[in-house]
Amino acid sequence: MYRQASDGEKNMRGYPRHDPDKCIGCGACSNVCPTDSITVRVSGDRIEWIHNVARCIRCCFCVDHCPTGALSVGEEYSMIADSIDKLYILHTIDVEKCPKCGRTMTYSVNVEKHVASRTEKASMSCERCKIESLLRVVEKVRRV
Amino acid sequence: MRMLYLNLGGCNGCDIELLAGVVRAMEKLGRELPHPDHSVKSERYDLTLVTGPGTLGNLCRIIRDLERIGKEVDLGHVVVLGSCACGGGIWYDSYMVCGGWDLFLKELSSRGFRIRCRSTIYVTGCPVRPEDVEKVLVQLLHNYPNLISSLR
Amino acid sequence: MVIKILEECEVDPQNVSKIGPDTFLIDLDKRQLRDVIKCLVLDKGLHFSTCLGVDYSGLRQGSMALIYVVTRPSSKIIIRVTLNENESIPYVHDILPAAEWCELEAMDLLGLKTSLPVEDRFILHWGLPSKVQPLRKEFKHNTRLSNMVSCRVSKPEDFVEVDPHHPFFYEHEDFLIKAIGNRIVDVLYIGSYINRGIEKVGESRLKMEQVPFIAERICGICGFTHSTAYCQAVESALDIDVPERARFERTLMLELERLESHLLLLALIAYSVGLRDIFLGLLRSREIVMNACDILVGNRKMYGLNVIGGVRYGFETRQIRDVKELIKKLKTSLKILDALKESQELRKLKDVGVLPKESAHKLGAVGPVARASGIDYDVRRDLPYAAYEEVDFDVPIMDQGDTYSRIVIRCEEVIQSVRIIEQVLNRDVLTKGDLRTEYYPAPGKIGVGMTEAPRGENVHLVITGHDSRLYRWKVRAPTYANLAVLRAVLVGESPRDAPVIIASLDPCLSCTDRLVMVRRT
Repeated sequence: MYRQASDGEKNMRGYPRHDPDKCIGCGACSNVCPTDSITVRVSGDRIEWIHNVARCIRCCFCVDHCPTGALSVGEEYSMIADSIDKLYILHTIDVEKCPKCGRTMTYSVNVEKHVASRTEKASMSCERCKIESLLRVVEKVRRV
Repeated sequence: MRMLYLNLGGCNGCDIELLAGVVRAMEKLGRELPHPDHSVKSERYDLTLVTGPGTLGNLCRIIRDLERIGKEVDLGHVVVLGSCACGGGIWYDSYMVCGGWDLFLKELSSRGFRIRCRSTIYVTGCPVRPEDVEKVLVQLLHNYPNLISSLR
Repeated sequence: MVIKILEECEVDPQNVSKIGPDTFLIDLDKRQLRDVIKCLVLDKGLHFSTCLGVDYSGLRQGSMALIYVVTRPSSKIIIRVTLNENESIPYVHDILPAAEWCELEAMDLLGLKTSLPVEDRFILHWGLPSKVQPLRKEFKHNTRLSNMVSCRVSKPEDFVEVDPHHPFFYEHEDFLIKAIGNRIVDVLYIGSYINRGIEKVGESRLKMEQVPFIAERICGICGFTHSTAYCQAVESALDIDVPERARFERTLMLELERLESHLLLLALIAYSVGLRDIFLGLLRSREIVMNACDILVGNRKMYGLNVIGGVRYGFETRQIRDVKELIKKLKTSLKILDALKESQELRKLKDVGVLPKESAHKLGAVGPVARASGIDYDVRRDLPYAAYEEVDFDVPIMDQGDTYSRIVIRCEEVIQSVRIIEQVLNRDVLTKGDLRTEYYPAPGKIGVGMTEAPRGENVHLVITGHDSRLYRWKVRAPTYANLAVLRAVLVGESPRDAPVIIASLDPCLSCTDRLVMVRRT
């Protein structure tokens, strides 16, 4: 589907290439894309990273804004297809589950690679768990 | 072989790269491609090249041409070039743009025009690279030997 | 200096405010506008750049404004006239023909009332109802208009189309020519086929930092000059300093783009007068320039280099070395330009399609078209931007104003561009230093950015809005100004020469049609 770069094209700025093993599903790329060709969404217990290649203008502005280096400038410039439906790239990444209640969160499992200390890991929990624990503290204080 | 070249409001980037690509393809084939029509003048074409996001102005232009020749046209093999023509590019949701070749065709067929395309190939890129144009054209002409035999 | 001129034109100094190092904002009363514009442009000889209408209801309490941009060497003057919603608007195009298109555009796109008899729709002439006023703030950029279009364009019967739409480029524009015997007596231009609604998309969907990418796609030949002009407009509005390295990188790419554009035009002209060898030779030299761009930024066109406050990529020594080699190769292959200049076929174009100096000034011609008619105006020298102050170059001027000199002047500019590129490539600053400055958006600021595009003066005006978006973005591409001279150069010539005369204006229609127009030129 991709056409490989020929000898004269070594400096070419190709596609933004997406690495699902590094992506945390933050959605920065979809926010900065001038053509709205990248969509990041949570569906069930997976994060879907969808790239509409037909619309992409190869500015690689998303690569500049990726916080984890999951996006890089590819070597392939163009995609040739006989149907517009084939001009999509879909990557799915597992969603991180809340360590306390097991509900799905809005970022992917890869976020653990970027969380350094144990305290940070311990503080990872979903919004609802955070609010519940806060309420518990408030309740305790009030009783005292 | 009759060739049609539709610029549906592109920025000229693809058009110039297309020119470079066609020159390369002609060198590789050793034959000359015919001079294309720039507006729909005949009911039957063998090869159609499309660039641009499909502006309303060009929609009107094509409708005017189609009304002149009748409601039906056969575009033959269609090569859609560039991000604008494939998916609307950076202006995909602008008020003056249909948003790519597929939506442009839908717009035409909703007005009662019957457009036949034997095959459609989408080539992305902003602008398209001449290397791609060369590759697609050469491959297409090799796949359909009757097209090549009609060339000079 | 500017203050003195304004005083002589009876502008109250209290209304003048300095909003940038070289930018002045004047708030004028509606009744004063005609006299001030007449005094500045017609008496004092300042250059009229453009005008625009603004729907100010999102920034202040419901009001409209008309903004006129007038430039002179070393300063830009912005004249603002605030109006009420239902007030009929003032106009100056009866005394200054250069203002005609932009005033009618403002009336049409904002639905402003006027005392002038205006044809039903000037810009959106595809049968759209009058309630469609795209530049009003309540109009959404993604409104679907396709079912409202009725596609009726009335063409006068006695005009002949120059085949098929545009004789040279594969863009669609109608140049209709009326000829009696062997002489053209009238010209009609129908445009707007390529209107993509760029200004509206830039003002609504995109954020300020994303707009350089859409600005670059205004035109596939001179896109980088548009994104530079846009970035300069925002930089001047928000008072951002651009690092030296970024300024030199912009200069390098701008000049490479000028080479690309001029070589394409000269090649097409050579083809049209039947010089096939020179056509191929010039296209081959152009390929060298495209390769240089490919090496530097990774794309043959659409460089994607500009961001507000600087550039995205730095160049490396390896890239600079490769480009230097290519430029050496280019210089030898450009000897073909002498053959073009000396050729008999081109000499026949002397005294064909003459544009006298006075009408060039009045019609607002810019760039090589104006310089071939003896108007000594080049933005690079007179309102320096990027790093043009730090390089040496000449601005070629010719007096004849005919088709031949419009072509020769571009040959001279190619030589000057190569000279600038060589100077820039020898600077060390290209490979080390900061790439960009950080900035903080603020609403309600006005800035004007101007560049010398390959086709002439290119003006971008921005008004910043809330939420790091633009409130108003106006693009005045050079062809927009140059098409106004169409009738002046074509009437009286033979229809056979019409294609090459039109080509010598180098019309770039995708730039011009970011908004649409239809008008007797």
